[in-house]
Amino acid sequence: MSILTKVRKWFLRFDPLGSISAFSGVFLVVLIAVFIAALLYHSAPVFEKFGLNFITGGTWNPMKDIYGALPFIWGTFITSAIAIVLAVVLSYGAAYFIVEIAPLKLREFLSSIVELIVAIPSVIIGLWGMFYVVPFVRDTLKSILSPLSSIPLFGGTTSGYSYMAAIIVLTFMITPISTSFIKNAMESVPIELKEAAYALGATKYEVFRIVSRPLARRSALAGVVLAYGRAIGETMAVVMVIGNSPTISISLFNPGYTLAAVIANEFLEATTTLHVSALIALGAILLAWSLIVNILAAFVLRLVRAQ
Amino acid sequence: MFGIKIETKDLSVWYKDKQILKEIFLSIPEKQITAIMGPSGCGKTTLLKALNRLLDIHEGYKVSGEVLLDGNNVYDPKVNPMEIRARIGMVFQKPSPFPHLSIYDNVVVGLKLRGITDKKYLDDVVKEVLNKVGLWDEVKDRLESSAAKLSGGQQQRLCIARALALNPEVLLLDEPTSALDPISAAKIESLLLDLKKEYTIIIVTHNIQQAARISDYAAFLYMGQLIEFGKTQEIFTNPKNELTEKYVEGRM
Amino acid sequence: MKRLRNLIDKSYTALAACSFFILVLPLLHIIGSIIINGLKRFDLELITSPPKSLLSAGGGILHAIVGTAMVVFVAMIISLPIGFLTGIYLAEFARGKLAQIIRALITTIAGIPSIIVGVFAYTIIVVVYGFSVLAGGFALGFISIPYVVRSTEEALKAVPIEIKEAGFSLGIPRWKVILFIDVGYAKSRIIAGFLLALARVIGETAPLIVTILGGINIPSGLFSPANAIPLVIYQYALSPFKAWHDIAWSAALLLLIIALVMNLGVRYYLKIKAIYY
Repeated sequence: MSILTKVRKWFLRFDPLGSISAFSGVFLVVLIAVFIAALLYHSAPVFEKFGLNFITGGTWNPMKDIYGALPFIWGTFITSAIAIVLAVVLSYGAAYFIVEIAPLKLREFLSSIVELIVAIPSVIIGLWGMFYVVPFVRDTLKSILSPLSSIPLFGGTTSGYSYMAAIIVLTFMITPISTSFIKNAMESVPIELKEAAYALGATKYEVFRIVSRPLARRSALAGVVLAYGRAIGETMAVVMVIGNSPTISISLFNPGYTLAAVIANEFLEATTTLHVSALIALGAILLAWSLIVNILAAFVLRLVRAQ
Repeated sequence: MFGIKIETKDLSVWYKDKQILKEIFLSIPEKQITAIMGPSGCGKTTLLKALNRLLDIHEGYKVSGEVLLDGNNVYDPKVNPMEIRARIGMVFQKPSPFPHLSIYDNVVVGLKLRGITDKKYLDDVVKEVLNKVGLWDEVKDRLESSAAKLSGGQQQRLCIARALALNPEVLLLDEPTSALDPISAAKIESLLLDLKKEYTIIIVTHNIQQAARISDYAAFLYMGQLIEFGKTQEIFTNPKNELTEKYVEGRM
Repeated sequence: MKRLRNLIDKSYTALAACSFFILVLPLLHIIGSIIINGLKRFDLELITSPPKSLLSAGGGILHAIVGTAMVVFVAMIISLPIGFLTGIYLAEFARGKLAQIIRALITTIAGIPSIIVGVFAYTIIVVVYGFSVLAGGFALGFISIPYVVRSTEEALKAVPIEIKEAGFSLGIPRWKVILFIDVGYAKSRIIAGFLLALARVIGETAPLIVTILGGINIPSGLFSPANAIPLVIYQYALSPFKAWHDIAWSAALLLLIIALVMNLGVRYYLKIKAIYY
């Protein structure tokens, strides 16, 4: 084919919208590159000063310009880990209730109630958490759990502002996400398979255990990962109830801090370059954390799919 | 004898690794109705879409051989497929008026998108082609209402009108009546008999009686191969191939 | 044995019901408490006047309503064109490596915690122009891009193949088929996606803390600091005064109404499901 024909062919195939839309996609790629570069650039001063001690250091004292991220990493880890475990349990239950127990007519309605929770702005959940969850933790939950207070996890006294309060609001916020994934997966299980199990004399729960749950596993995993990603990054609801104390405590009734919360709370007060840099570096850590979770999720999903 | 409007020479089509059409040689006479028959999956629709280069828009199709429109190969790299599609109108199996457009706009959308905005001219076109398809009296009072509100038969006639508005030379119809009730189907059939005075018509059908009723020429396609082509009367009364005979007698 | 199995079945039913109610009771409590606490100051003054001063409790949140409107407007100016075009790219043109990268990127953006997006907006806009409507709008726009992309892509992919083929058979170029036939057909779903994206960012607070500063003034332009309804809720909730708490609750009621009306309205009238990523 001559060059002229090739050019002509290209010209006939050329579509302006194709180029413009591809350009906007490429623009996003560039934007993300700038995003990561900007975070790294502004994090550099604090890493230059403290090196990896920034990540492993347990002291955060802006007055003395000493910055260690461990209290926030711990707070993010412990709150999101417990919240996701609670969310998994609750969402299997809630999905089972919506799909298998509630009357068919109500199914749509019940699931839209659950989805409604996602639509509530997180600052509103934070506001509610401050005025209702925090007192609940202080006055009610602490005394309910007092028989367990010899266990370090539940020890000590509490003002209510605590990891525990953060875990409660987080669980409430992320459960609907995993619930709706599990629910959708359970609904798409072929009815023939369920009927076949019922024909063997299985009870409702057994059908769920042998048929629906294994078939819904992949979707459930995707939902749980998404919910976990939301939990580590949630800012407003957490910053308003966790107590904002840069310390590492074992007891869930003590106040703490998370990566997202400290950025929101201290950013405007930061006066020294190093303090701003440290906060941005916390953002970089949080970003890396959520990216790793996402990549891991993609990897696991591929493995499950390959089976 | 009539002139040849479209001719395929050694036309083969692959979808991914599967060959769907095998070396088709076919001559479509001008201003006649040519029916393409065959069991489902034999490649009828693919053949139709190969004629106006509609396969280009889908991923995975490969075409070899030639399709001559008035003696010029439509697959020549110099040819703009859009011009081909404008000269060869097409109507689909499922009535597909654009539901977001009014009846009026459905008819003239092709013209408008070519930059023709002369209201008077567009009005004339709408009246003319809707008259041609016998829809004018039924819809003239509600040209601005949505096309989605028409009945299935009306929608299909609107789609024919939409194709005619571009003043094509050839009209391709892909099982245009299979989704319609018998009365609407009969209307479309008699409409096609009218239209052949002006247009070369190629209709894909799996309805043997329909092919016998309306077509002048018929082609029988089986597993991607052209088994037989000739005058409809010949094909039905004196088929040369055993497969064709089985098919037209409804034994397949 | 049979009795044991039935017992297990019954207890699982009970546990499932409990889980559901553990999830729904707080929701009812939140809505109830916001209505009860919010109605105290849910008056005309709330939406028609700015705060009297930095230290006294009177006035309303007009400054924040205007701020939210401006910030969200800027966000949409940024995210609609980029998201819409990228959605078209993914639905109609995407093939090969580039498409894979962009697709992965959209998922990634959707997973980035919003506070970090705020920090990003700080590093590239606040350090140049200062705390501003522009910086907040940029952050919220960035956050909403994946929603716009996905809804556009899904709406276009749902256009039946016959409609696309009918479009092409009119002999018009691809871009006209896409913009005038496909987009036209998918119009209501695309717009619904835009509205859901808007509803998604209207309640965003965290990125605004580090980009628009807050304060009590009605923003005068793109480059002036601003406040926003969710930010006012946060600031007033943390204040020591009861009167400000009341305003926070009322602002929460207002924000909840806006967010829910947009969400439910879009979902029920256009019958599409909520989209999470």
